[in-house]
Amino acid sequence: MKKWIQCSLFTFILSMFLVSCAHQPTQDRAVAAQNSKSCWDSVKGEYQNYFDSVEKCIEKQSDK
Amino acid sequence: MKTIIFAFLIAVILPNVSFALDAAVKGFIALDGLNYKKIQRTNDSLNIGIGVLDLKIFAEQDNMTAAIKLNIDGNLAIQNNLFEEAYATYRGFKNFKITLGKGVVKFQNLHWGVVANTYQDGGTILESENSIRKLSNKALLAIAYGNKGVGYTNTFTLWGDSSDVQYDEKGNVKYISNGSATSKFITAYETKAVPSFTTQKQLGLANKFELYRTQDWTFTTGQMYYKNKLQDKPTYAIDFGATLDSTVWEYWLDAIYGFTSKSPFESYTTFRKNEYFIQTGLQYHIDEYWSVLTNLEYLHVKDQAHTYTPFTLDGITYSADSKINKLGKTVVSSNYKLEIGAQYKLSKSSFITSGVLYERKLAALDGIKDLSSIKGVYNPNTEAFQLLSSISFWF
Repeated sequence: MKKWIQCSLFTFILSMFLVSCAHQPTQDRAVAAQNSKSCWDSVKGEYQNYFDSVEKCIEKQSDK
Repeated sequence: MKTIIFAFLIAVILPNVSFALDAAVKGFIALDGLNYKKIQRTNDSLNIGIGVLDLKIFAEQDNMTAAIKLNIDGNLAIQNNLFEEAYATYRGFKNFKITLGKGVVKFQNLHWGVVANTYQDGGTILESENSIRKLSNKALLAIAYGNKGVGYTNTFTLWGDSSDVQYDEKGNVKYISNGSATSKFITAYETKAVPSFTTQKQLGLANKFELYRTQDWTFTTGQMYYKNKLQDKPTYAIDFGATLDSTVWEYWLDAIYGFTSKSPFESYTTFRKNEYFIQTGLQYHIDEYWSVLTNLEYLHVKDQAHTYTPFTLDGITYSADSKINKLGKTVVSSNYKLEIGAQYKLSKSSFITSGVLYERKLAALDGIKDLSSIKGVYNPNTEAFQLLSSISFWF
C-alpha cells in the first residue's frame, strides 16, 4: 500500500514538472514575459477597444 | 519493479496528452458619480449609478481562444440573450485567424467620446435616427489575415442576425397583430431568437482593412452589406477611419456613409434611409496623470417611411398599426454633439473623467422646419447639455 502511495506521488510530481516544461520553452520564457508585460501595459481604458486589446495580449501570451 | 516502470511510463506519456488551459475574466466598469442632464422643454435630472458594465470570459488552449461576453444589462427572458458574444477563434495557420460564433461584426473605427459613447453605439441624449450602428449580437464567421508585423490586417466576415422572422406552414409571414376576427392591425413581424442563421433567409457581408503606418498610426476602411428575404433593397455602408495612439497624443476619426432599407414591419423600419456620420476627437496627455480631451460628432439622416396598403389573407384584412404608419413621409434630421473634458489617472487601470456635453438635434418633416413634435422622432429641434463625472475601472 505504501509503495502505491509513493508511486502515485512520484507520478504526480513528475507529471506536473514535465507538463510545465512542455509548455514553457526555457529560451523563450524571458522574452515571452517581457513581450506580454509590454502588451498588457499598452492596454488603455478606451471602452470600444478594450476587449480587443485584451484578446490580442492573451493571444500573444499563448503564442509564446 | 513493474509498478515503478508503469508509473514512469505514465509520467512520460501524460505530458504528451496534456494541454495548457488558461482562463481569464476581464471586465470594464464605468460608474457615473455625477450625471446632470438638461433637455430643452423638459425638467433637468441628476443621475448616479452604473454607466457601463461589461464582463468577458476568455479561455485559451494552444491555438484556440474562446470568449463569452455576458449580457448583464440585457433582457435575459430572450433565448440566447445571456451572452452578447460567444465565439471561438483558431490561430493554427500563420497570420490567419478564423472566428466562429456570435459577436461584433467589425467594419467601423469605433471610439468612445469624452463622457459619452459614439452615435454608432447609442451615445446620445436626444436620440439619433441612424440605422447604421455597431453590429453586435450577430451570428458570424470571420477570417482575418495579418497583424502589426505584416503591416496590415484584413478581416472578412459572413454574418446574419440572431433573430429570424417566423413563417406558417403555408410559407406566409407571421405577424403580431391586434383587432377583430376579420380586421387586424399589424404592429410587427413575429420573430424568434436563433443561435445560427441560414443564407436562405438572410446574408450579411463585411470587410475591414487596417493599415499600420509608423509606430502609432492606423488607417482603416470598412464595408458592410446586408439583405434578408423580406427586404426589397439591401442595406450597405462604407467607412473610413484613422487612429493615432502615441504616449502624448491620441487622435481618432470615423466617417461613414450608409443606406438602409427594411421590410415594412421590421423594428425601426424605413423605406429608404441615407445617412452620413463623422466623428473626430483628440486627447492630449499633459503628464503621467492628467490629460485633456475633446470629441465632435455630426450625423445627417434622410429617412423616407413606407406607404402601407391594406391586404387580405385567409379572409382577414390586415393594415398597418397607426404607431408605425408614417404615410410615406420624409424626415431629414441632423444631430451634432460637442464634448470637452479632463481625465485624471487614478491607477494603472482606472481613471476619473469629468466633462461637459452639448447636443443639438434639427429635424424637418416633408420640408417643414422648426416643428416641436414629429411622429416617430424623439426630441426634434431640441438642444441639451450634460455635465458628467465618471470613474472607469478595468481589470
